[in-house]
Amino acid sequence: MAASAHQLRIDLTVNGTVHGIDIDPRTTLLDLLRETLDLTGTKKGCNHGQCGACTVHVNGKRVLACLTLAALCDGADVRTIEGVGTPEKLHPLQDAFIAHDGFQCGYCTSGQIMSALAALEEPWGPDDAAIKEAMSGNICRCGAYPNIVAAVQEVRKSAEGGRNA
Amino acid sequence: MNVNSTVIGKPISRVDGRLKTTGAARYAADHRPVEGRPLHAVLVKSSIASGRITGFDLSALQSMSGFVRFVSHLDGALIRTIKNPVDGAFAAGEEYTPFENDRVHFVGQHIGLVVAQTLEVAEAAAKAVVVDYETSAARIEFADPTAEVRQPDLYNTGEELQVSRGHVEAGLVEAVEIVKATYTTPIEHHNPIEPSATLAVWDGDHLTIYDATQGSVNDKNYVAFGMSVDPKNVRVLNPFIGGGFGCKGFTWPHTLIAAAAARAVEQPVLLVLSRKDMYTSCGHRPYTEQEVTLAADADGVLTATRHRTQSYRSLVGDHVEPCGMTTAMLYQCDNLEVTHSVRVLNRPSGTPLRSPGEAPGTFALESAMDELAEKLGMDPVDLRRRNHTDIDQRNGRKWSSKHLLECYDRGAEKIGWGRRKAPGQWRDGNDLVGLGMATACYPGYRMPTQTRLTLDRDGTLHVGVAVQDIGTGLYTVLAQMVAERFGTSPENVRVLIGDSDLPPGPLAGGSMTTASVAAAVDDGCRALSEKLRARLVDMGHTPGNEPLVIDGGALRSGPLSVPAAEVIPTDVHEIVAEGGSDDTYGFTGGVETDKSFYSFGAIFAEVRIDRDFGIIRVPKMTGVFDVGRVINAKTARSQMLGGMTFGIGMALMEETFIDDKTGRFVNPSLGEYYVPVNADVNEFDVEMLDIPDYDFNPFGARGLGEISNVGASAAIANAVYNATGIRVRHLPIRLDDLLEDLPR
Repeated sequence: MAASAHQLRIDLTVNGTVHGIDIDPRTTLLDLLRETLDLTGTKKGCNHGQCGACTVHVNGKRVLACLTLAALCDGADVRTIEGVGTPEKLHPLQDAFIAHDGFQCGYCTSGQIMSALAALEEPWGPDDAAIKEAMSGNICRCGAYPNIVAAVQEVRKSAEGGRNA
Repeated sequence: MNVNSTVIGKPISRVDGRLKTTGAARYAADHRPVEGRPLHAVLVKSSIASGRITGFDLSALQSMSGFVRFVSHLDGALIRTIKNPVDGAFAAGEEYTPFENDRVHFVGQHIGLVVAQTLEVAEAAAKAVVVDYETSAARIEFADPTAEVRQPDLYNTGEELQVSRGHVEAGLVEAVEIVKATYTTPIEHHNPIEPSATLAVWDGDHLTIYDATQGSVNDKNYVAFGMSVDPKNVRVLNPFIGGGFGCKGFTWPHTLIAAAAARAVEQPVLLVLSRKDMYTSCGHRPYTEQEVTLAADADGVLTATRHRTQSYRSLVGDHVEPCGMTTAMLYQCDNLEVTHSVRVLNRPSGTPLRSPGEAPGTFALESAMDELAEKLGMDPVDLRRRNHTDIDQRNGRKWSSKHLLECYDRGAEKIGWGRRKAPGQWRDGNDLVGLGMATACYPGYRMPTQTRLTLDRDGTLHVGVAVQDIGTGLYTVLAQMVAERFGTSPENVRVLIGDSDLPPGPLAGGSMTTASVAAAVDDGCRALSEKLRARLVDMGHTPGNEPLVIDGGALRSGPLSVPAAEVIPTDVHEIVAEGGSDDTYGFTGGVETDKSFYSFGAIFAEVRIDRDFGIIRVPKMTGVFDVGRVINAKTARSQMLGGMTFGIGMALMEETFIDDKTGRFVNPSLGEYYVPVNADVNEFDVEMLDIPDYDFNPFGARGLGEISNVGASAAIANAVYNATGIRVRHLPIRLDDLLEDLPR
């Protein structure tokens, strides 16, 4: 990549693959994923941390990739939607999103799924109100919200069933 | 039509679901040129509302490593002059040609484009461009007395905007109760989560564009015109679009600018609009002021109706928010006057936003109906029944299919309308509770559409048409339609859309795609069926009169079963048939018919309002819709949820503020323009009557993308009145509208 005179070297792991990359210090994690690593499943909706479309996991926690400087991800372990499942081998949450129609245009969906995967590991409690609150940082302009809640609940309940079994 | 279909109407999961849930679906900004990487582009926009550009200072850019080029009107004729917003071949959101001259008409107008090797450099360079202006007087304030006022004759559908019948003054004299009130709706923005984006790739004089557009064919014709190339040399690809809601409907200047820049720098250029760009680059719903007069006799029969809408347009865009179109059609009333006027202002251009006219118009009309019911001491549902008509009031035609009274009945039953109390009288703990309702309606439109149907040697069917799935479920609906016609499973159908090289279809707007493709698919399947039967006869078979079934890799007709691989000669690989319909319905100048086509529905809302803080919540909304045959129960329900969610936003949250001095939008971000989030949405109860409308198309479907948003804001406003006794005549309704007067 040509560009800025000032370049920084970072090493990070994305979906299990280690990358050593020279970056423009202004680069966000979101633009690094999309424009340098061609991981375009993570979307840019607002670039201001207001819509949630760019949600990814850094070291196991959900973060907004547009508000995260790539330079601060040196040594980080990043997981994106491409690291969750594939069209041929879906993660159960992806299956549940399809079954419950938890999306329409699909643009916010990567962020919704990454957010939900993290939320399922966070201490939110089991009821719909808690899941709605946990998922309210991810805007779906098509309005699939009740279906998203249903999809997350299905996976949460089956995980709970698995633990109790 | 097989009414016991195993395919049509079933809640089949989206066929594109695996791509969308894994990040594998590629939207405009996700595509890459076949070779190399695109250059990145960032728009430079005017910061003044009126005047001319006297110069650009680019000195800070030249030293930036990775900066490639700045493009503006100073580059000469990069783009061919576009004289009309509608050129016959295309409809554009604005009638001006980008970079044509030094004139500035509104804040946010595109005046330059920075192209750089990386996005970071392009963004820094765009910020570093210093623009010198000579400002001139701008008309920004809505009430500016010097603004030109126009009374446009027609909306873009061809429908009349100035309607008069009978004698309104005489009707007012007959009345025992009259409501006369002014309702306002704010500037609203579409805010699809995908910002508009264009990747332009030239190969000689051939141009490929990956564009976030609701209309690939329209886009192709616009860009071909602006670039002075044969439309055959332009291909627009839009396999996935991240929502549109109208702002990607008519094509906009940024697409042309990206194409022009790519030609100028002789490299692929990717232009992704920022969220802030989205507020001034591709339209909004303009502010409306609507004076509604409703007069009724003692029985509640309307004796006069008047609906005067004032709105505005920009200097370069001709959108009119047609709020009164519903009023001219819906209720029986012999004395009626509907007018629309627009002020010409130095503001960004308006454009259709999900149910243009119907959404703000029914807020006013259906609020006024609620006020009239209150004055008459009538139940609001009864008032609507009293004025129900089976005749289209605009032209005296019968409806092709209208079951609105059933919608009222079912909706009232489902929401528990009988629980409703007098205004301000229903308390539950610290909450004031209320119920409200409104009528929903949206025209049935259909446009000429062609399709290509293909059977390959595996026995797989393919359907191709240049339409697009903006989230509506069209991929799945098309698979279902073809599967139905050949007695097979949707899994056996491959759907090709989102490519302007396919047989032409309409843009995704006006809730018309399903009805349009229905007629085309029906004809395409007939054509393929005929070809296949002829082929079977050529092979020495005698297919019976039974419908041709294509399933399990074989063609069957009655007892006959022949593998597709035998039917299709090895040297051709596939049998292709084309079909379609040239008919237009619902637009002026369409097919001559003695019927009118419209969808209807009833929306009911329950609100709960905190007595201390005035916080408004919507625990439940019920929508019952008469939208013809439902093709897919799952995706149809989702569209209705989405429309009602849009309605909650319109009723309680959404508003763009403009600064009257500078002409700038004050809150162009998702942090300051509030849209509903998951926690804002509660129970939705959606029912569709599912009564086919075969006069409209062979699958009996009408559109449903927009009707679900119509009436929702009035139903909520009427519920707020019922809960509190406070009538709010503007949107959005916020707690500070209620706080001072809440009943204790």
